[in-house]
Amino acid sequence: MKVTFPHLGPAHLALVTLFTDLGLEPVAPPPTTRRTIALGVRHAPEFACFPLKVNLGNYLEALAAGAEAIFMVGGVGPCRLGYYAQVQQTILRRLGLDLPMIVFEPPQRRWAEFWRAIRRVLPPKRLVGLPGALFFAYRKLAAIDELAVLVNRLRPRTLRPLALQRLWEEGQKALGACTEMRSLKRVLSSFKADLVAIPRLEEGYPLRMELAGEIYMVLEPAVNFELERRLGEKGVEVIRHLYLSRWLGEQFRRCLGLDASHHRDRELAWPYLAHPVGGHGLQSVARAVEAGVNRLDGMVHLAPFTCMPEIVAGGVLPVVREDLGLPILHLNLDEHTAEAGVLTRLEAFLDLAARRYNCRLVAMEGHRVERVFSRG
Amino acid sequence: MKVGEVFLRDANGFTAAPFRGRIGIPRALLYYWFGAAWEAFLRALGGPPVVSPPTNKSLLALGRRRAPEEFCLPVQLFLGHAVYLAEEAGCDLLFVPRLVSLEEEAYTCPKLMGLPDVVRSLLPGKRTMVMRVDARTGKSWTKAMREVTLAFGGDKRAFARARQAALAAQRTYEESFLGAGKGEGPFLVVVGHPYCLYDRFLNMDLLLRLVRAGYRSVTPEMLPAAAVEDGLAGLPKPLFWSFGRRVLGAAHYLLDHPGCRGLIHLSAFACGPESLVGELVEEAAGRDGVPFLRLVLDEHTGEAGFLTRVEAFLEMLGRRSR
Repeated sequence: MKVTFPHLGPAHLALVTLFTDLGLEPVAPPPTTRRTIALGVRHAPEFACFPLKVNLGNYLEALAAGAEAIFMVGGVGPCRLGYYAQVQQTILRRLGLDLPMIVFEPPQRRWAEFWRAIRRVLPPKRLVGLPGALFFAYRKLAAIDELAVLVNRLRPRTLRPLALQRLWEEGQKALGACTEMRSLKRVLSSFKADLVAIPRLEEGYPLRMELAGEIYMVLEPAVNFELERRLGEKGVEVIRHLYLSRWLGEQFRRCLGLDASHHRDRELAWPYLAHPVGGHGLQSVARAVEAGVNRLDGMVHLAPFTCMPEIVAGGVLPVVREDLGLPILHLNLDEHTAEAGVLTRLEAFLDLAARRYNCRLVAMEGHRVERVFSRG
Repeated sequence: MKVGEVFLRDANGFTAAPFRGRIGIPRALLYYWFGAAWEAFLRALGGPPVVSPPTNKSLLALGRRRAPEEFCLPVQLFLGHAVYLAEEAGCDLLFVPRLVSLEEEAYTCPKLMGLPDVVRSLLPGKRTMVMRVDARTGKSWTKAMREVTLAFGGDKRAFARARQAALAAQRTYEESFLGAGKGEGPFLVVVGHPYCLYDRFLNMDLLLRLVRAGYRSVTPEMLPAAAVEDGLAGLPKPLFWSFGRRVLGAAHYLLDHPGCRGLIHLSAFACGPESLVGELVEEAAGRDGVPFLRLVLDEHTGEAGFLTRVEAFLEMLGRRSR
């Protein structure tokens, strides 16, 4: 069975490996472009959130490339993601495309049902290989994310941004093509060595900024105008907590009741947002608080237009900004967002942050460090 | 005292001493469904609460001006009412419910879950009385009411009395809707969230206009819960928004009824759940060949444009039945 799936950052590399190992035939959708987005927007409900529309565009392009089934994740609310698959299937049916959708629902203590759902898709003899295949796909993602962390650190300091970018893209491809653990480790360390070998500026400290918000907008460069790369090339060290492998690991540990990060985030966000609001709303507030107390130089908050959890987060973030003196740029993106508009706002924001940074340096050299950030 | 601690944490600045003063309830959002009970409850506990006046132009403008711009219209309206109560009506305390979940495995909406925090960020220093209901974790209305009673310094007997009053008021309110739903003959189905259907300013008196045009309309609240559940039976996956469930369940249930002449879906601009539920409702109406009208309310909705669409829809219905 030829199975396709929507794009989410580097997820396609891991999913292709996973499905191949499980004996399915993966068809990765072509990379998301303006055309993909236009295709999805044409058929999706007007006020549906942006990721739903892009997913739909991915499906339609993958179906043209020969896919016969769609793999999608589910959820249990209150974020709309949990009902994406059902609505998308309704839309595809209306377009005359009636094809099976394999929806991965989080188990939510209903392990029997979860198990039956897996059994429906996989023939029994493939089940033996499932844990191994999952683990390898996870390690692949983790390797890609490890490289991404390094790239984010090197980018503001590098003297050859183009070479760095090329190497990063090659690295993702090479890691994606690995078929066994040993080669994965070898490829990762060789690319890390190559990246570190690119000449860079050794002196000075770049601005450090948190990139947080809704997971899809943060992870998918095709819809956030490659914000991470642009920030890096403008001399900002991007600090981001949302890496796909880390997030999946947290979810897995949380299922087993072992993950503490969720409680930590609740404690951090509590003075401003005392209750989870679904999606990554609470995490965005927690990241802002963390960035504020750690004296980062700013935060970029990304959300798709009409995203409910991020709207609530965006509603309380101004207070965080006031209390902790953290500049926050809130970007609401959708199909109508123009690149030039986003870049102008980004540049203005970076100018402001750089000014504050310089003021702080001056203040520190003059031994006036009692108030690093002003409340103004 | 454990309950008190929980309450203190959530209420941010609410002192343990019994509260005396003016308490305000914004007449917006789910006031349109639970408001009678809240009022009865607070009246039984202490003085009568101050309820903001029905939505009008200036309250809407106030909400639009003060609320963050991305919020949907009903939440902006709520914030308008809250600002009015705090700054113009002189209330010492705002009653802000945090309705996380009203039934198992369903939520209300992220914006309602974070509502007290948004109110607090908008009105810093204002004391808020938060009533948190989360049926998923077994924190039902009863528990929530007990916490509020404690905050008012009420004892067990006061709690029992207030709870009785609240439940009775809610029952009377719900029964009045069930009674309105009874009737014979053809009807129109009007679905939407309670605050869209029953805020007469927001929807420009849609329900009354339909009656004047000679149509009996049935809303989700006029159906017994069992009928709504019945309508939801065929779903591929259970919906996890309580009010979305009502909308879709009622639509499915009533579309099968032979008297159903048309379906109107009323939602607010930028409403998250309804953007998806509306799609499913439209699909259901299309499958059954029932005329469908989608009305999206926002602050720019001109009365003339809105009414023209409704009139055109009604005229089309008239032609069909001839």
